Amino acid sequence: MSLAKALHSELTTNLGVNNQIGTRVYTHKAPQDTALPFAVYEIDDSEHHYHMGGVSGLRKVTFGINTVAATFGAKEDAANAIRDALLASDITAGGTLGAGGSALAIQRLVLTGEHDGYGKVDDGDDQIRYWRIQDFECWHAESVPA
Amino acid sequence: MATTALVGTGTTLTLATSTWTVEIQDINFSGWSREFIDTSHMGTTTARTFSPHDLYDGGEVTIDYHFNPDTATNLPPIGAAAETFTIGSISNTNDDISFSGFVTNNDISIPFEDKMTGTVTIKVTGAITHTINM
Repeated sequence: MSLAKALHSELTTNLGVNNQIGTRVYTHKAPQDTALPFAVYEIDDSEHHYHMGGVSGLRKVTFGINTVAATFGAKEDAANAIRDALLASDITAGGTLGAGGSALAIQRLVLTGEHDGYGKVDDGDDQIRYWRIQDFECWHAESVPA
Repeated sequence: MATTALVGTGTTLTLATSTWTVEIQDINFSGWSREFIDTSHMGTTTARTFSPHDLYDGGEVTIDYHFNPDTATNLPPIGAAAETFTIGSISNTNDDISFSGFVTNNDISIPFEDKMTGTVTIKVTGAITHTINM
């Protein structure tokens, strides 16, 4: 069960996201000279729940997605497509994130905050970019070791 | 013999009669007490004197648990008669504390964006037994 894999699967197969950024979804850092726009995501923190007997199998994760674009409009469209993909009714109130072997059952996924910026980003190109960081919180089941 | 502080993880709960399937987070004993009589009188000097009752009150046991509506026996047996509760494997030892008791209260929390939990209160009736199984 990997939230990081499920996120990548969801965002790279969602039609709305594809229309904006193709499959340019990366974890931690985009490859140098990646075409724009693209998105980079990273797990920020996680909270694992236990009971007297051991692992409860419930995890809360916070993660961020940074959408980078050459224009304000492209940044808006790409970030909004990502928001719409993740907050779709089949995911946000209990559903499945991702598909196939990367699918993850979700109990709750919400967008908790976002902020925009304009400046140089670490994408291997010394240019000014538009970017938006979106912060999400997700509750999902995790494996209970035997 | 030195006494080492221990964490409570690994402790189990067993009911003698009822079935209660639950993930437990905390177990708290409170009000385990004994009353006393003030025996002070006109001739008492320096400080008041007291005499203990022969019987103590086992108080109440409060248990916090994960509430899961998908589990048929997740709700505590609030209508059951008094039965033996055994709090065992305390801190993964073989020791246990047992008592007869009955459920008097159950609170459930179903929050908007947090895990669901419950708190049950058990009234202890009679003696509390501590068994050390080395």
